[in-house]
Amino acid sequence: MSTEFLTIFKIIVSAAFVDNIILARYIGLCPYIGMSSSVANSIGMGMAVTFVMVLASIVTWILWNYVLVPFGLEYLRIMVFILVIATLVQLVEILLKKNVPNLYRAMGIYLPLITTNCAILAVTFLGVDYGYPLFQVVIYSISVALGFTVALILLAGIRERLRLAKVPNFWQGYPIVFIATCLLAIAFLGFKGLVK
Amino acid sequence: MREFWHYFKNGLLGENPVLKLMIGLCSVLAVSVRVDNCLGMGMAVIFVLTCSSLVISLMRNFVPNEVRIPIFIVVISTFTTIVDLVMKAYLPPLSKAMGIFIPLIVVNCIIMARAEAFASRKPPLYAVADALGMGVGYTLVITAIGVVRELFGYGEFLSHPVFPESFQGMMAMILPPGAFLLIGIYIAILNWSLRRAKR
Amino acid sequence: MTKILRTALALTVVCGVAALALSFVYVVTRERIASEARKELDEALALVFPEGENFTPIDLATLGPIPESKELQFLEAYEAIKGGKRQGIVVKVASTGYGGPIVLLIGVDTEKGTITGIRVLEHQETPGLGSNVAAEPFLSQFLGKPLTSPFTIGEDVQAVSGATISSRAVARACGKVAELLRGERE
Repeated sequence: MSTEFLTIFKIIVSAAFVDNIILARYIGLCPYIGMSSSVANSIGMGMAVTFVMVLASIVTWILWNYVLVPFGLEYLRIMVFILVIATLVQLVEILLKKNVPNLYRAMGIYLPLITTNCAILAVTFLGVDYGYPLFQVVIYSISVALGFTVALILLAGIRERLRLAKVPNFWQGYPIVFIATCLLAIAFLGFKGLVK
Repeated sequence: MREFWHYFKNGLLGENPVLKLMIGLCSVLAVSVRVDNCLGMGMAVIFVLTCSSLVISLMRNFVPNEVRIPIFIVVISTFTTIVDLVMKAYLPPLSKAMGIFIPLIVVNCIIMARAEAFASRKPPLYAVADALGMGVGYTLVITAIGVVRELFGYGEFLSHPVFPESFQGMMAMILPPGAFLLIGIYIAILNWSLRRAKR
Repeated sequence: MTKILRTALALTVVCGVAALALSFVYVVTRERIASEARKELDEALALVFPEGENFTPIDLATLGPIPESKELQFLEAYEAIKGGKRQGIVVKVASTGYGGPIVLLIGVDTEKGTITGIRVLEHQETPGLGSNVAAEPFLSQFLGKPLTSPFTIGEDVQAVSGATISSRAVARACGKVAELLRGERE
């Protein structure tokens, strides 16, 4: 029991902080730069990503272990996974619109952007590569999404402040955002070595 | 032919996918630790981008509008898988160094964005011109970052030592912060030079 | 109705062509990918056990009780054969370093009871610091060491400066492999 708990705790800390998908692995940068202009936006995006990420990793895990591997079709992985994600995003969008309009209003506009969010595809690949059992894959994808959301909210906070700051002419806009990200990444380096 | 060059040049600087449109950033930062990785990644992206743009442009009149996104995805992922398999077979060290970023070409926003915004509307020749321009623009940026990171991070260029033995690599350049810092500086430089050119 | 048919037709044709193209490329590259992987393993095996003429995979369990360790996993074992006789064993282990598991190949001469070679296959250590444990100066310390040595950082092995945890992970792997094969020798 306690070792099981320890493994899960380890997965959470390393996926969310040590190997933070944006700041340590450079995956999912496009939405990170695009959606971090305000804290409200970044929370909505974080929610949508979490939702789709968990669903996608469950579906792809099942497909991988019960369809692709038994039939020796591992080489179709890229195509199958990306199609699963695209379909899933559409499905979630339709279902939410119909049944949970409140939630749809909160994260609906972020959903179409998610199909080309490499973080989702990366998590489904990594979850399979690490050979986790299904339960751990769920935990893993939740933690990665948590790490993604934390990084997004942190940057959004910084950007809201930056708007009041006097930034030299050519550094306005994206350049200063990257410099801020650089400093965030340095801070996150401090988590390295936390998990033994 | 003039238009071909026009669309080609577009991607190089003015609408450079990485520095101006802010797309396809992930692989730029992750792979650019060494120059040879950068060139490999650049080639892979140019191949996938050009082939998918060509195919999508050829199909533009037959593809029903409602299913165009799934069809784009199928086309792009086919070419990505081909690159993945061929690299694994013929360039295993490179394929290992780039790891997950080869399959991730499929969600490289550059390709999807160009398919949607350009290739599905224009004739094949222009689509190829645009794809080549974007691809080369991408490769230029990633290599420019790679040169600096390899030079200061390892003190080497294309794995050949440049500095004397006593040189200590700058760790920060190899780690994520260095990548973010460099791309910030590059964007600032591009903004500066574009604005100067305008004046 | 015709619209649905047209949509379906377009999707089917595209998917069919894609599947055909992919299976073609897969068949063409399959052999080559497998042989590259084999070649890579053979090269690594030959480096850690230069005298071996060929290597055959063996079951780890035949080497005796595997030493228990939370930070070390035994993955695979190979028999190094020379002139039809078993000369040594090569063991593949994963030892937990600073950034994640360090996967090592360790060759042991079971006749003489010494380490013949050691090689890092995969690691995620900090570039520029921990990554130096994969380099020659550090690894060559282990060459020719008898299995009875302590394999302890600071005693018989010098750590890479600034990377004690990574160095310790490699030393630990050697120590445990030696412990396993000491029993094998007797």
